[in-house]
Amino acid sequence: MFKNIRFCFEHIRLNALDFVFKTIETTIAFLLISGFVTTSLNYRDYGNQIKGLMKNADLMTVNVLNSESVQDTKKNYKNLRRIYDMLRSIPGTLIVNNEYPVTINETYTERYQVTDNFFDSYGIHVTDPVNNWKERFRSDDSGRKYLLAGNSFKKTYNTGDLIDIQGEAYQIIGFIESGSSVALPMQDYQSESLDKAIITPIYDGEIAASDLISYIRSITVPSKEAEALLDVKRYNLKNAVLELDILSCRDQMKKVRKAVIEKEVYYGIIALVFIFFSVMSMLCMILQMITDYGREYAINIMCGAQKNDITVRIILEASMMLSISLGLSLIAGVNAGFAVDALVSILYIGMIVLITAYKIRYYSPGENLRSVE
Amino acid sequence: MITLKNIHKTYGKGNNRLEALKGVDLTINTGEMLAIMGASGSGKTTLLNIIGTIDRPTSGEYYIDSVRMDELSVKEMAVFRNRVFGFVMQDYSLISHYSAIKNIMLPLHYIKLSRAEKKLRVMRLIEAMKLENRKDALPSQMSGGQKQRVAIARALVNDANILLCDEPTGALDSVTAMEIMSILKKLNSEGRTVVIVTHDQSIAKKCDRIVEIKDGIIFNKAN
Repeated sequence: MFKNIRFCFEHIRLNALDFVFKTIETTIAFLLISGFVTTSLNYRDYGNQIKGLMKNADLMTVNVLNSESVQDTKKNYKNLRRIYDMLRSIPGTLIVNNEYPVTINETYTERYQVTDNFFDSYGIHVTDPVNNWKERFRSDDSGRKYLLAGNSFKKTYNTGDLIDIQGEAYQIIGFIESGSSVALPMQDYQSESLDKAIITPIYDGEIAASDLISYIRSITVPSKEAEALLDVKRYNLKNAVLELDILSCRDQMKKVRKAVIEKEVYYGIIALVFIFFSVMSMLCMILQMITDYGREYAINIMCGAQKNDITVRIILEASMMLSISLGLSLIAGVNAGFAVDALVSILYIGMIVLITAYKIRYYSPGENLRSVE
Repeated sequence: MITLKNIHKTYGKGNNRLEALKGVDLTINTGEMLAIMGASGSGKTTLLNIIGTIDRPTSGEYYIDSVRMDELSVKEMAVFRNRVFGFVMQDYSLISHYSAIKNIMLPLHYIKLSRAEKKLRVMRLIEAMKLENRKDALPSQMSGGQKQRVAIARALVNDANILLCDEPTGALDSVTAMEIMSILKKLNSEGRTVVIVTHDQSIAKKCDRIVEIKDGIIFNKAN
């Protein structure tokens, strides 16, 4: 073994430039694999986001324009409250408001205040729920406040635990299924993950005047209630409260879906390109090693080496190259791909051993030493 | 003494089956200089590789003195190649990035010797082969004759008793070829067995005996 190690170092020393090129090639292959892993994760995330689009987009949304110009007066509050209550009373109204994030354990947390038909509209599933969680979410006379926590909260909390939010205790009545996401109309075609978010009911009585516009903006109404919406529009015009526009959610969702699919395809193609070049690079290198050194190994066998010696030397040299490449990849900044790179190293060495053992087994030094005829 | 009995060597399977040797019987006496002649594809190099334990026969018996060579383990064959056989090839079979000294020293990596002893052996051979001024040169910096002398030195570094030469002068001009043949003759006169594969009549005539091989069969043995 010691002579093989010595041979290996000697071989690397005498073929230093070749070794350096091969190491660079392997490092690039590892970086490509990292790229593949990252883009695959993006591809998966965007795939999940499509699931966050509304299941039934036959809704109308209220778009509030120039809300900053609305003055904070008692009259305006009264009118805004009236508009809100009118919208709220329309059957099938859906409210999803995420404009009021909170801090939980010193961590910024997205908060979605929703009506109870939110879950069906977006196809959101709840895991580990308490009994009758839907009824509790709708209303509770006890004065207790409830929330559903994103899947990431499972590391720290259980169902039934209390979370302090801005001085108030909220009880966890379930967890949002991992991978859930929501794409809100009018939100720049983005789909947001719910894994780190919380969902609370809308507590109508507590909406401050300054927040009413935000809640009005968050309302969507079934298209069949278009007449009721017109009533709201007429009241608004009459009292000159806001500049309102009624938009179709279906059109919004189509745009979001298109944007998400484009990103999904983009990352998918990039991932495939990365993995293709990475695999080709490694295969070429393995074949090159075996081919280049074939004659040299044949001469060594002629001089008294055994085939095992050759296998060991190839593995030693490949291992050294891989270790350096892995180190260089880390320095270059490998994130999610590191675990994959380590796994690939092991597979790569295994591949070298198998291919080398196979080639050496059927290798005829005599053919390599045959005179030119 | 080298004895081959009914040696067969087959490559490939099924429709791609090729029988390179078809029942070769041959005896080579110790200290003999034998030429094996044949055209391209006749099986002469295959025969040489089997004698040199680089390849195993598909069937048949192969002895060196009383040792059954075809039944040796891989490790035992490697030891024979290292200590008993020396190879001299048409293309010199030198490692391109090793100097002359390193090439000559190659077989010494596979035996246990002190560094001083290794150096002594190598330097003696460099002197004997008149390579003093080329000892640190790479093969690309040497002439054909010099390269072949390096190959011969490597073949002798472990004091091999049997030299197996595959067209040793095939890539050399006539003058250099004669020089190499003189060296091989001298080594033979020291008691070494020399087997030369060649298709050159003038080289074969310098040997003690000529054997012809055609289509994997030895069909003519002449002194």
